[in-house]
Amino acid sequence: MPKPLNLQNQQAGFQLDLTPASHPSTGVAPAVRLRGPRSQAYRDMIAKLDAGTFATDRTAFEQLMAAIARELPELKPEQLPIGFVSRCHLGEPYEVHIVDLVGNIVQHYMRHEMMPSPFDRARELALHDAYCFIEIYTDNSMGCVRTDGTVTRI
Amino acid sequence: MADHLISRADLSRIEAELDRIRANVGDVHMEVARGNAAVLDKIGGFYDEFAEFVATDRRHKELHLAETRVIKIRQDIESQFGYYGEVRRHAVGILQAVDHRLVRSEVLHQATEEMMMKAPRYWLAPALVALGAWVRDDRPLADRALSEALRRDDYKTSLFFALVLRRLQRQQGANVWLMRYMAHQNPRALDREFVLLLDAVASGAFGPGGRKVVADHVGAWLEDAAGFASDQERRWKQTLIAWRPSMPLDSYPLLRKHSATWDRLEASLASAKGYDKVLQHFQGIFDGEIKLSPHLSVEIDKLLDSLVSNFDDEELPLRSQESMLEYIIEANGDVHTATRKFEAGKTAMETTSTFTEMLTNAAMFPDKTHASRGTQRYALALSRDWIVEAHEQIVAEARAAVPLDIDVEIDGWSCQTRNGSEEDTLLAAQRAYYEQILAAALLAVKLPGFAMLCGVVGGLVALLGLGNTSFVSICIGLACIGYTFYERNKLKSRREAVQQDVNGRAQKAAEILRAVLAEVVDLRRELAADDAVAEHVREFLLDISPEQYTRGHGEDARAVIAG
Repeated sequence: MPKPLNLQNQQAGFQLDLTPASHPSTGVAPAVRLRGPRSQAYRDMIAKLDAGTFATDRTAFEQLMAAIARELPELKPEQLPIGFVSRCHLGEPYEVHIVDLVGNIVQHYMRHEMMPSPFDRARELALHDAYCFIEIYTDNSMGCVRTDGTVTRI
Repeated sequence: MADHLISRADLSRIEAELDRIRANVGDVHMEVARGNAAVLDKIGGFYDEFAEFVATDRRHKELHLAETRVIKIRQDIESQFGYYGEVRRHAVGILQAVDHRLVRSEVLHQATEEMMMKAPRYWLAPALVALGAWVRDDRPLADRALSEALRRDDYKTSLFFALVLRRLQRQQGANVWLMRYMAHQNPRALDREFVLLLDAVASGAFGPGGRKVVADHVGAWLEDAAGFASDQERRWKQTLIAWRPSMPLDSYPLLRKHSATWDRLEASLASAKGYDKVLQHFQGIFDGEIKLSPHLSVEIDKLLDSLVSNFDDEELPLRSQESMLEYIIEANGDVHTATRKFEAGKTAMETTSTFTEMLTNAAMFPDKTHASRGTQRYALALSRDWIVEAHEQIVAEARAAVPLDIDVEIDGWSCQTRNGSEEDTLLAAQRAYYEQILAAALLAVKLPGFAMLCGVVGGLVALLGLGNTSFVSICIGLACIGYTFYERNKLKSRREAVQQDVNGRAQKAAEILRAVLAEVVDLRRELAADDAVAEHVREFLLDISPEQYTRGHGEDARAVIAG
């Protein structure tokens, strides 16, 4: 049988280059973080948002904004959600409610009652059992958050 | 000058003949008009047949041309690269000869030297010389040949020796070549033969050490490519959407006719029907066991055959032309269809691609990328997150587009329904609508003004006649009064006719409404059932992991046990 091929044998005068090639990293784009899973604490907090206006409870509003910033620390303020849409648990005739972070208000809507833009696009999704709430962003995109925390951005 | 008197009888005859001629001209004119229409019809028919004939003839010509050209292209490949085939056959032949010690060293030496002369630029020729020299223990020749092989094609030579040494159970040497190969790869510009590496991992050609080398690099590349995931997600989204079936034209006929929301409903149904196609497609790929040979050498020989046969870039332009001609033959001369298919698979034949593109190509076009079924599964498993994201986006967009409320319009009356359960409320509203129509229609049924006037005037005239004892006046007066009574009697039957008409419309509209609501119930049920399949697709895909599709080989286990 032939001897094993010793590729590092300097006496033979043949050198096999084993230096790895350098390929700089591309870095991770911000969009990836927006799709990352949402924590249980964050989901619980959004689910508990109920009737009332943050205008009357400034502390509650600031706590909410701080919690959102903690959940998405890599994002700039203008990239954070501007509101949420979810199924309303007050029962008939109410169907969905929105949490408008710009207007500092929680508003409930009945069936057939029109919702303001850009929240109106999320109505059908908010009523679907697969999602616990829908995040709304300034660029009119939406983040559909599932009960396991995974997010689909559309 | 005498005046000529023309007989009236002669003129009348002339006039009659003129009339006859006029009538005949009119008939001829009509015949010509009819004939024109018939001729135009025939010409239109001839034109359609001619256009079809031209299209068919063009397809036949394209098919014939493609069949002729593909023979020529294959002859060109054979003449320009035919000798490569001879060299390729020697690669596995030498290894099998070494296995069974059936060939003398001198014969091996002569054969490999001949290949160097026959294939002046081909990397495999000096690689085989190096292999033969190694078998004969001729170190200086092996080193020189190896240098030349690496100079001609570094990556293929490295991968070749990684596989050869693995085949010959030289684990340490194989791992060194593999580490070298992986370390030199640029994940943003991989050569096509890299798919063979995925093949080797999926088929168990590498031992545990080799698999770890590959897994570490692949993991780092995927992490680094996270920012480019959206490109592959977009490709997968286009592909998944393209699998949607078209809806049958006779489904939900009443909703089609009576709902302005039908187009959106139809689009939602079509989207949802696609989920089952996606699930079936992926289940089909992952179904069934892939049988590998119990002998490692057999699996590696297949990989070596593939490496030396399928990935030489010099042949690529001719192979690309051959591929296009094969598509034209497959499409029976339809160049547009062939071009569409060729363009869809073109990226799979690019000389270099990013790692993420390569995974997507191996998963979508295994035949174009020469990926085995096992490699397709492995590539799909590595691409899993992109496929899941693409699928989730499609599903979320489809769910957002499903109309919550459905508009219905029947005979001028409109309503909205969400799920068809509001039958009682809607029927009551519809009844109220027709009651209003009936009331308005009955109000409109009254004695015409003229009849009323006749009655009044008739009465006055009759009275006057009585006063003057004028029989005529009395008759006229009575006639007018009689007309008024006649019109008054007609009122009842007119009212009955109106009532019958409106009640008929109301009854028919109620039947249509019930049927439309039943269709809404069926449609919502169908949508919900199809939508639920989307969750099955998600679960199926999330269950896949790359580790399930990288395997060891039975011989490794036996070696470990024996050791």
